[in-house]
Amino acid sequence: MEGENKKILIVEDDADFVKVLKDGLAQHGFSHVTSASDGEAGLQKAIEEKPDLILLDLILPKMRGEEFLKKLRGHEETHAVAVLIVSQLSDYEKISETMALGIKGYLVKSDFSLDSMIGQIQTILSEERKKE
Amino acid sequence: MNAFLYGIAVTLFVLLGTFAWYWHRKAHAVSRKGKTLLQEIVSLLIHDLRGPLDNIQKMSELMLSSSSMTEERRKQYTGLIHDSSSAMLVLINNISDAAKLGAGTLVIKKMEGNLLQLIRDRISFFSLAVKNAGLTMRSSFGNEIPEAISFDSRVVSDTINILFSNAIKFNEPGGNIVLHVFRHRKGKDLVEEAKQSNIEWYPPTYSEGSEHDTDAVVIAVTHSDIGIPIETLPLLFKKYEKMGEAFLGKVKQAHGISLLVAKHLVRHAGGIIGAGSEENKGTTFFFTIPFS
Repeated sequence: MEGENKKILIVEDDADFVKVLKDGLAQHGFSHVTSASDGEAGLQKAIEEKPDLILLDLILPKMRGEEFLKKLRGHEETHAVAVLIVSQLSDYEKISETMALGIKGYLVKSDFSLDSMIGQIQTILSEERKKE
Repeated sequence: MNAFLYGIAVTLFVLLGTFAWYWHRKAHAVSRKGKTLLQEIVSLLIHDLRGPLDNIQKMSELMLSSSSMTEERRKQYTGLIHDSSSAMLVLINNISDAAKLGAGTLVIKKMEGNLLQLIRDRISFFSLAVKNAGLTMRSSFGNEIPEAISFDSRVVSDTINILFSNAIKFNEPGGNIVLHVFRHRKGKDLVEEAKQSNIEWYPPTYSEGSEHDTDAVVIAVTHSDIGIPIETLPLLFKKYEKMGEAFLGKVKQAHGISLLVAKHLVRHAGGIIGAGSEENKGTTFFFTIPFS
């Protein structure tokens, strides 16, 4: 299946949402999906695992999503990792600010069904694959 | 004489105008982001409701789309849907209380009843959510708690709901929740009483509420978490514009209006509410139910 070889890291502290997303991704053939519940642990995992895509929430314990992004870009091993923001924050200002930090997209959680969210993920990974 | 009266009238007019301007500004206080307080509260409430609702929607989407879901997985999802909807019900109670507090229509109705039974009912209500979250919970009840006291059951119930919900939300994986119920005697030091009763908690470094000391039942909920800095604890009970960016992520997100509501409920009922915390260990929230 398409997602078999792709590694995805979810940085999100809502354990229920992580569970649903992991199960949904598994249904679409994504078997290498890990998660971290705060920014610090997320950064560590990103450096260790070198994922193909990071799904990042903005409101996190220990380190906000924006700070995580800046630190991610500052590391040689992770500066080019594709990041998709998945957040409940929906104000235009926040979205614009975050887009300027070099992300692949910004999904407001409740605006997307699980299926369409996974569709977006597949599209991003497909685009990244073409660049390789 | 006319000039004098004219002068008085002008002065009064200016004073009245200044007062009206000040009151208008205060009632529609604008934060740095240009939103009114009401807009910020509504924004936070929408966020707090949207999260669990979105999870319910996506879980049911998964359940509907999967043709080969195991019974165990189905049970797991149903449990998560149960927990999300329970959290939303607690939040809606908070909103209702907040609205009454804001409108000044909250009425404290104290009636004689079995407080310990109410607490046990709350423990039972949350036991499934605790289990689903992979946490453990235990409780202890002191010896000298009267069987029947006069209290407002809605205030006690809603405040316990808030403390338990937060204890589940904030907890570390595999963490625990400990509930202690003990008696405070008028004139005694609460922290000393807790020590003598071997209460396991993080002694409060912040509390507020009634300054009138009476006999009271103390309900303390302690849970494991990353800890909250001492200087941040008071901010959890403050209005939104004071929260700002004072602390990060989950603390701000999850507490929302809940502790603010709890504070006002407890104060209206004549009690005190407070918290203590230790870094990388845990946090205790407690409140008192005064009785005579």
